[in-house]
Amino acid sequence: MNANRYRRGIDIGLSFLSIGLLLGVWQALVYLHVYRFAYIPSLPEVVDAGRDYVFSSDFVSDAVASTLRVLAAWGAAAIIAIPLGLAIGWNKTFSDLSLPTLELLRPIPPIAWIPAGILFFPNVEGSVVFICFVGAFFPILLNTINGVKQIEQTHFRAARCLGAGQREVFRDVVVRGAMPSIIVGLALGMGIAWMALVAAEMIAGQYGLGYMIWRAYSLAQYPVIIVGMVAIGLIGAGMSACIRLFGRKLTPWQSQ
Amino acid sequence: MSVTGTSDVVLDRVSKSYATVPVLDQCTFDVPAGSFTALVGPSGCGKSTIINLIAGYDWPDAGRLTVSGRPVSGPGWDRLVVFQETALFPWMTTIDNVIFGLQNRGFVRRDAEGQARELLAKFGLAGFERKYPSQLSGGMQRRAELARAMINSPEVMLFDEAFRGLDTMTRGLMQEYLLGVFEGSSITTVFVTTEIEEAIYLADRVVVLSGRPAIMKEIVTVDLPRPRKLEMLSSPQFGAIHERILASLIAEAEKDFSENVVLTEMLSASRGL
Repeated sequence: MNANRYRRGIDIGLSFLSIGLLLGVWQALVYLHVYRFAYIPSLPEVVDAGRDYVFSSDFVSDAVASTLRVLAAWGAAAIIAIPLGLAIGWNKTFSDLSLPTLELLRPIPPIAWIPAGILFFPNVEGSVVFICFVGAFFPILLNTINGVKQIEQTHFRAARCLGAGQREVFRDVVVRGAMPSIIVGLALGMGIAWMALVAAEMIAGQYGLGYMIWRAYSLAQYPVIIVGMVAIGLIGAGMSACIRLFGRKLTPWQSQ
Repeated sequence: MSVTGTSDVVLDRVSKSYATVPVLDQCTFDVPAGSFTALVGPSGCGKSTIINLIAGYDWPDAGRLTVSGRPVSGPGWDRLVVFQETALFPWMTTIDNVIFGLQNRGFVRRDAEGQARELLAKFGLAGFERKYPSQLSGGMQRRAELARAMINSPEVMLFDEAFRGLDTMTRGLMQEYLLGVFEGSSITTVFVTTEIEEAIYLADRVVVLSGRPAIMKEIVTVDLPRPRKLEMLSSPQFGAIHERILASLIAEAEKDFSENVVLTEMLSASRGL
């Protein structure tokens, strides 16, 4: 018990050290004018800018807009990709029918969809959410498919000899067996949705954290750029933590 | 768990090939109702295929395979399999695994759980109902798996090298355990193994299979008294049966020298006990 607490203390200490090293190296590079680091804002400048910006109504509306866009896109991707992935992983015919198309679309990066998205959707909101959706969709889909394919054949056989019909096999073997992999896909999808979001907002956005970074660059408010980056990092990390927590609740057999 | 087992298993000239490779060639033998029959043969000789056919996961290409006189037409809870590697669902607790079959048959959860608790206690797993399989030891997993099958009162139990991978000690305990459960029951049991001692110790009859494609080579009756005791392993009677099965397998292996590797494996395995 004591050893555990000791270990935990070390872990927390190392986490702080990790962040401290990042900040320290950054400051050293800026103050020593290494290469072009003189152009990069220093920590005090960023803290100053951050204080002003974080308490402004702009920040709240930007952060809320970005978060809602990501959640909408990620949620829609999950709702479509998980059932689709389960069907592809489980059913050979369905797999043969849909995989070639999906394999063709998969290598196209979400950012390449930006012009097409802007053309297709009547408003900025639609195109930005669509691009995030594309980013989140494939990791969720592919991990769901893999999750089903990784289920041991003996589990299907055991279920069938224990009287399970198609419905029970789907509910008790396919869905639950694939769950750990689905959660990995959801976490990856969330990360890629944020990447796609920032790119889409820079190009198409009227507000949002990505747009705010770009606007700060245009207006030469360099410390604000860093503030925006940190905000994205923190919100993204928070969401990943939520998915991990939710994932542990859904797969209690894995945490022991 | 009192089962009125009257199910016999009959293979009549059963043949099966996978991708043009013949695995079973006109294999004929029967498993009398209520008997404990072991299948031994070189590894890869098609023993698992026989289990899969009886379980209904696969169909014979030719010949007739009947259980209680009816041809097998797919899996069912009257014939349950305990697999080589654990087939417990890792995502379900022990008790949920055990009641899975009953729930599929429409039992109320509370009744099913009551039965499962009773059976798990009998199988030495009281207190482990809410644990996941990964939290159980290898021996406990096998017992939980046995409970998951037995709760359905199957007529035929199929063991596909079910104790492979267990350490010698646990394996010995599981054999004792199995004897405790099956001696005096009337469940028809087919037990596939590569270990001759295990086969003789547990079974009423040992079916010796040839190398691939498998044909039935010999049926050796084990006339050791029941209940079986560990001391019997060193009795002259046991030795004679062992020698006879081994001779039968050696004759088989000598037909094809390249398969001697397999035989060597079996010999070294049989010295282990």
